[in-house]
Amino acid sequence: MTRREEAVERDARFAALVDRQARFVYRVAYAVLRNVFDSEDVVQETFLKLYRGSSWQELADERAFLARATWRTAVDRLRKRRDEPLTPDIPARHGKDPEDAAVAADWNAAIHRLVDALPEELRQPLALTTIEELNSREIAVVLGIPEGTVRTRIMRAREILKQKLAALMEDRHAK
Amino acid sequence: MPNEERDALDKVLDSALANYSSEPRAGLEQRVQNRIRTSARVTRIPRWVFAVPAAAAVFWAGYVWLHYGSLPERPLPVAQVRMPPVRAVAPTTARKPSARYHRRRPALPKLPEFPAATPLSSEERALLAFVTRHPEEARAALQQAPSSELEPIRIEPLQIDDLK
Repeated sequence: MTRREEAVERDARFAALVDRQARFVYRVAYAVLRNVFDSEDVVQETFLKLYRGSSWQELADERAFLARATWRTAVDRLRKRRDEPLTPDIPARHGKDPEDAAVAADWNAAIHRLVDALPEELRQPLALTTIEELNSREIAVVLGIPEGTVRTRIMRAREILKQKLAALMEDRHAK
Repeated sequence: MPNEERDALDKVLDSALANYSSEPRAGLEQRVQNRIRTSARVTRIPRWVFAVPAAAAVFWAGYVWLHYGSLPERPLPVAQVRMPPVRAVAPTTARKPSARYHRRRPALPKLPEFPAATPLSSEERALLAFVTRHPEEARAALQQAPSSELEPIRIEPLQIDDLK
């Protein structure tokens, strides 16, 4: 096989990897950055770094590796934009009934703001749990911390959120 | 917090967290691949493009070091300056003073007789009167006057006595 043929085959395999994992990588980036455009930039940066190396060709756990690489890139970007306020893009989800959908969207937005207000060490494991494909073991690999620590942090984050949510509900009922 | 309320909060929380994630805009995969293709075109410059000049520089440095770096010190070269032969310089004529210079020069008073005649002394006047009145006697007196020609000095040979 000539070098040119090897290069073509390599490109084809990488294109398949992009097709397979781009959305997953995007979700990981979004869990950290909470911004559509920044997340897409991180996806492109992550795949570009991967393409320039050769480690992607021999991955034991493709998803865990990609999630870890994406998380690192996203956290770097998050540090750079630390001075800027977090402006999450809240996705619009519409239910069947417009009124219910509006109420649900309202609650979702409120809870998302509560999540965004959590400390990063609690928010990131919780945000990664919202990505369906990732379990606590994989999240531990991504964050580079023990699996038990991941579970503890997720529980603490949920407890804080439930307390704040209860307080929020009481306020709304009182009004 | 009662268990029922806790369960209700868990459900609301799970529901909200399910929407915490986001889906990318359509065509993400294509955009990523385009970016990689663009980048790959730039980075696919063959390595030998840089390797050839680098190898040439290393080779040249080695060559210079081998041939000039290990030789004993050579004597310092002495500069030889060739002087051109001296040429005879043709004499140059003095430049005539310009007419302008002449014009500026103040004019000197001109004498009727130059050098000016000095007045005669009393002896000369007496001699002149004697010659005018008695020319024959003056001529005879001149002829009888002694010759003005001087005889050469004669020096006797030096005689030195022997030392005793």
